[in-house]
Amino acid sequence: MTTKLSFVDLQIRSFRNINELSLTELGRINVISGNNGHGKTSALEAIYFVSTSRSFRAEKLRDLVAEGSEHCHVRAHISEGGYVREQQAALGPRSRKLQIDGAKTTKIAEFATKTPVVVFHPGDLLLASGPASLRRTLLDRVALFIEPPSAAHRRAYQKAVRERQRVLEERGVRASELFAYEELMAKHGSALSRARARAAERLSEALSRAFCRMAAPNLKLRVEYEPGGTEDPELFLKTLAERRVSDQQRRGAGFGPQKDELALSIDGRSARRHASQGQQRILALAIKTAELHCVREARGTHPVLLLDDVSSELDPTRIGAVYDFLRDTPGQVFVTTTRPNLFQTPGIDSSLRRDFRLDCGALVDAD
Amino acid sequence: MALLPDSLRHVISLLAKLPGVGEKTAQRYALFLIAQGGELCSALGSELSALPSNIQPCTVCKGIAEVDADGEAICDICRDPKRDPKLICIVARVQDMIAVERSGAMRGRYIVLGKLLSPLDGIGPAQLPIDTLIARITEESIREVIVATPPSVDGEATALFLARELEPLSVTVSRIASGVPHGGDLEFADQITLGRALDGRRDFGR
Ligand SMILES: Nc1ncnc2c1ncn2[C@@H]1O[C@H](COP(=O)(O)OP(=O)(O)OP(=O)(O)O)[C@@H](O)[C@H]1O
Ligand SMILES: [Mg+2]
Ligand SMILES: [Zn+2]
Repeated sequence: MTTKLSFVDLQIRSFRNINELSLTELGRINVISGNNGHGKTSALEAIYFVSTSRSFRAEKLRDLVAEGSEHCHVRAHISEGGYVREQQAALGPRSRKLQIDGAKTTKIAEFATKTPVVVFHPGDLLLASGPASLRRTLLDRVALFIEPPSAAHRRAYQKAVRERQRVLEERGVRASELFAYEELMAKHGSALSRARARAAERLSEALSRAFCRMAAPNLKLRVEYEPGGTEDPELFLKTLAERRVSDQQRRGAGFGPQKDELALSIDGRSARRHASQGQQRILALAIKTAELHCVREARGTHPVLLLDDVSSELDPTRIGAVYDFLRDTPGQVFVTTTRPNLFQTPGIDSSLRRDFRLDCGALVDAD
Repeated sequence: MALLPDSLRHVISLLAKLPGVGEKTAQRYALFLIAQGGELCSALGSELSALPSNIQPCTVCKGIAEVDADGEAICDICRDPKRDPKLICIVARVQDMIAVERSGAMRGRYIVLGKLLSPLDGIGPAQLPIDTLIARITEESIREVIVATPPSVDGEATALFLARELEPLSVTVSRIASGVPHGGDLEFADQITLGRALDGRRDFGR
């Protein structure tokens, strides 16, 4: 069973190149258009930020704040199952502030699972062929929904890794506090591995089905979680103790979920190294479809879809997949494009579509 | 020409050193003080300048103590004869001690560490008052130590570390239960949660 989830309106302030932007009476399909560099992706990023407290493209969250401003701020009204709630996310020089219906929350996982969104942006085309970190983040996005504490384990684990490394490098392999950070790495790292393994399992089923549908029927996809650590805390701890010297010399921890890989192979060959460009692209799309499926199953609601840059004519597979997405999801969708006229929504009642046009981060009449 | 006189700017920059106070708020405070006139300013001024000699860290627990006529600084909790003399709670900061006190679930006395292990900030075991802690445990024949450092990575690491350091002593070391959200601050945990966390404490059990 799934409930209906949708944004009712949205206010964005001092966010990237957007000074002040208010989008009201949002529809089921919302088309945000404008020329290159006028703030389309930034608008999607703001929706993602107020839903997840994160960004899908910024390396540092600080980059979201408009140059010359101290804070950025996004506020949205979201309707779910007949109730409307208000969510706010703001970022200042020292802190991030999250609110639901006016009440501050520090429980990031709870906030981030409240309004599920799935974004599909040009960078996602690297999901199959790019660095393993992209696939780890994918696993973490899914894990967040099937096992929300995994997010806190990940943060604690990453902190413990950095602390242990500093101890190794500054105070040596026999430092008396080393074991404490290793115990924390083992505790949080094994929990993270467990959550990722579960996420990989769910993702793998959905991904195989999606790939089967999209690719040539005779191609065989294998999805395998290759853990860089272990789910067994005892073994984790033991391995860390054994690796002190080598981790000190390599100036980094060689064991643990920071080395996880979600290995994809087509007909027995690594997709990352051997798949054709077209296959890698289809695989990336299938991954996104699978993510959407997993989040929907786990959360019991259709995620809001954010489709960035559906205009690039160079890429017909991607456009085709976008239309597949649109047909498949009864949920709310935001798309950005430079060419709103070319973006047709056949089979969808035109009254469900709303057009917004951005010029230098501000709303202008959409003709 | 500077918009504000030097002496006022100096006050503003001093106020801005307070936690949570930025340049703008500091300016608001300073202008408010001027508008209030001399009385508040001089009261505040004399109280503040007397503060360091009136109030000092408790010589026993490093909590907050008023300096008495003999020049001794021992806090009310350390003086309180009704406290369980065999039970000590270790906290990171004075704020945490106040939070634990408010929960009403702590019958013993305290030790305020003042710091947590934090390798990334260059804080190692040498900066923790371990000798003081061990001396107090042996001299006062302490029976149980509750480690109530925050549930952050540094708080947990410090708790694990202290438990191991205290292992050779004949004392039970327990850790507050995890009712407090991970990465959270004790200061902001509500009283009931914190009370439960203390009641539900667990032995390190090695
Ligand atoms: N922190 C910031 N402050 C001010 N401007 C910024 C900030 N970050 C990015 N910008 C600018 O915001 C503009 C909008 O970027 P955005 O990626 O949203 O454009 P877009 O409409 O998606 O463009 P395209 O069609 O090329 O994808 C860019 O010109 C960028 O340089
Ligand atoms: Mg863009
Ligand atoms: Zn005292």
